[in-house]
Amino acid sequence: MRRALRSPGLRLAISLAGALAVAHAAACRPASQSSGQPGGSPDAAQRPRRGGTAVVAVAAHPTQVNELLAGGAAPDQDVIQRLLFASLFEEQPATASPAADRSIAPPGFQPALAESIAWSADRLSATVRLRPGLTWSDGAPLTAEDVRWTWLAQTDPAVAWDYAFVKEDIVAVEAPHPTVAVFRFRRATLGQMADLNEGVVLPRHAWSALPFTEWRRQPEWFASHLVASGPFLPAAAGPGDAGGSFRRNERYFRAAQGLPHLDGVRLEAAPERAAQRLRMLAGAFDYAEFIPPAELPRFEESAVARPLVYPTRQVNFIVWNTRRPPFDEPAVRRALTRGIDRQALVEALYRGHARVAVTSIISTAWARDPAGAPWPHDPAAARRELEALGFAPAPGNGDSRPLARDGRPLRLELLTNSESQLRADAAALVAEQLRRIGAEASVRTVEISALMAALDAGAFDGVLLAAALDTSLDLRAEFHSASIADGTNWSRYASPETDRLLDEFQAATDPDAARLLLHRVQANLHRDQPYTWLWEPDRIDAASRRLGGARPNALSPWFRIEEWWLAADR
Amino acid sequence: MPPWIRILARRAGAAVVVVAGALSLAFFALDALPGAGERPDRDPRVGLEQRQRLRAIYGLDDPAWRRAARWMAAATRGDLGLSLSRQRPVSDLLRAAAAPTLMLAAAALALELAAGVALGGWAARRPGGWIDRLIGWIAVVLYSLPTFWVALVALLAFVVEWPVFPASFAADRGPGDLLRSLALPAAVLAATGIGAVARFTRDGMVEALEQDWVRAERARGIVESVVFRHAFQASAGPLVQWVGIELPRLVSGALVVEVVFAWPGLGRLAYDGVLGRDLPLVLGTTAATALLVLVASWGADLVHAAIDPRVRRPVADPWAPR
Repeated sequence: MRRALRSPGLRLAISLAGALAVAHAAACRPASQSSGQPGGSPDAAQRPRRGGTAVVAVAAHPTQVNELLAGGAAPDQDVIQRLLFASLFEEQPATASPAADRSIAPPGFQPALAESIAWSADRLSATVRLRPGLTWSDGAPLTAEDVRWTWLAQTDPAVAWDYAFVKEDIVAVEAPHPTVAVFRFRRATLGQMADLNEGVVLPRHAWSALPFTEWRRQPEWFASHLVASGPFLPAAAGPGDAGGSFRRNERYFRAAQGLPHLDGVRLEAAPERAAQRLRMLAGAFDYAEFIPPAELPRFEESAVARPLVYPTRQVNFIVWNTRRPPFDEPAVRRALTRGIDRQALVEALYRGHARVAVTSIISTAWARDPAGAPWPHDPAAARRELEALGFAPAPGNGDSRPLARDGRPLRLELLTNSESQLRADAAALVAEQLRRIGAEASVRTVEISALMAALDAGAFDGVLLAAALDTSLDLRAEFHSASIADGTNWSRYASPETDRLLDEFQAATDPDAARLLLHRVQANLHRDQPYTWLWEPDRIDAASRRLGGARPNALSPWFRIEEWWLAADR
Repeated sequence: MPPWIRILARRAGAAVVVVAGALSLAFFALDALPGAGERPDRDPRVGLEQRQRLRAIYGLDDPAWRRAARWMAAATRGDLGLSLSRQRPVSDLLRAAAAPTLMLAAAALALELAAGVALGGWAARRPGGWIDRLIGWIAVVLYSLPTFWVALVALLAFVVEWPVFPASFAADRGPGDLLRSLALPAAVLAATGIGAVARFTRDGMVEALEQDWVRAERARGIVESVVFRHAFQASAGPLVQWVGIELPRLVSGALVVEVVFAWPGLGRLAYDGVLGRDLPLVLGTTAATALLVLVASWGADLVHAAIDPRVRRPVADPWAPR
């Protein structure tokens, strides 16, 4: 329903529990299952069955039902929002078409609470028509007033929603009729549809009793005044029972289609991932996230659980500090990139369930530059390039003598966060490869907040990170020079031409022109290598062999959870 | 004023100092960490302006000493603040988590005492014999095992490979399910303690059984089981004192077990609080743990006094003015 703006892994894959954070992919393959499984998925053999309760493993029980207060990448917020609330439209995982943001026709957005949208000729206003007869779980009508009031809440400074900036181009929302909402825009952009649709519709009749100024002071109030528009609602009516058990919402707008199939969903907290996986194999859960690639065979062989492999939007990379010599020289950064065997990393760490990355625009995105290819791994050429830049082997014998220039060794420290064993392993392998081309590379793993502080302060040589770009493909935060002071341009990359191209892309309304602008941005980034892009991983989750209808994808593992069904009860 | 009231008052005063000290340490240590007051999983795209707005809303712009003083003042009124990660009053979260933790700790303690005393008593029957040596070896192994490793191995063995325990652990079910859910986490938590109790019991019993009064009882023809019971009573004092030390360890040591078995107690709350840089939650769990330590220590003193008349003798108050 949302463009995964807030799923945990959208940006830095820094979630504490999940080293392989969620992902987003612009074009999603359906989740694949390895062959030769005992039992397989019930999807192929049976029709959806009504009834049963699916048990989902979560790192912690989500306790905030109001997404405006939930915080950025709050763990497991996505599942609770998808259980409890609906959006105007449902974003579809396949967004390979440049028109995706501009049309509700597939593969962009499907009608959800709204049944249609009509744009004005100048695209400065959009008229959204709601389905007739929508109701909240308490029977109150869901109207355009809810839509208007939701926008007021999203943009109110006292509410201080983390993602209020998404709505900055919307200047007004009007509700001329209970089923008609009109959105007024400041300017036309490619991302208008996604901006309009971002966030769930909130229950005005239930939540407007608490003034916006009190929302941050009484965050627990919402769970005890909860009404839902999504497929499920809390099973316990008592105050504060947002996490835990959920039962079918009989007033869900797709109830006439027999949805949801399940009687209920139970979220069971299992904070320790290794223990969670063991319990998944013992049949405790119907769904668990983040299976390490090394454990894939175990799930393939299990009679109880099966792996689900699907692409993500995540890219892993090394951020180079372009203000710190010698990493301020693009040629040095390019040589370092060529010294890293990224395909070997993919094979060693992901057993092939990843692809070598070229830039932050993943290989399946509509604006990916088809001419872009990874810098080839060539350690001999890398060393030659460094020597051409004035680096010479230190006195001694052997081909792998460290390089130095003007008496200064080519020394670098790779930082990464200690919460991700996979990235720590990757950093160790990269350091070893860089040592072979003459760099004195070392690795230091630090706690995530210390890592963030180092990034903000520019106190690093290189940082191994992961991030994922949302479907807006807006790279300004990472690579525009205006984002050095306040943003995530941690490499301190500054290129006037790239700045201009990024600004033009943001203002573009023609998809084809926008695509060409982004191609040129990618060419610049590929040339300048402010990052060494390493790999685009797949994500592996696990489902029980009795669970049907699960279609995890880059937008969300919980995509259309109302279509989940169980072949048999526990 | 009776001396016991003075002693009690001094102990209460000392307790306040201990708890305030622990809380101050926790507050300033966490506040000094990079990124304090911000979620570690915050979205980096959320701009500085928004972050500053949130800091202002939550009062994080004030100096640390002022925030600490404000928190302490509110805590004395029972207001432990709002958990930033769970967005609930910390006191509500502590209330919900205290019972599962106490339940787990009590079950583990009961297991430790039952198994440890039985093993220690058995070993004391023939000091130096092969049973004594075997039990001594078992005790050392149990005492040396890392709890995290034991927990994962137990999960693998008794839930996955040989499923005698349920794969779901929940503290909010009926008595039958609750006992089945509790058994494995409690056994894991008790594992290291069993070794210690066995050693304590064995050494105390061996020493007691060598006393003259034991020889006298045996000479009078008192049956061996009664002699053993008397010897155990005579050697139980240090064990009770040890329980006073062990109870806080069980509560704080429950963290690992609670995290692995997803047991919804104080340990897991503290774990979540630390990972989420949730200062109010960490302070709340620190306060709760510090209070539990003090209460356990007092409880052990009272039990010790109840079973050992020598402890009840009036003694000079070491802190009394001389």
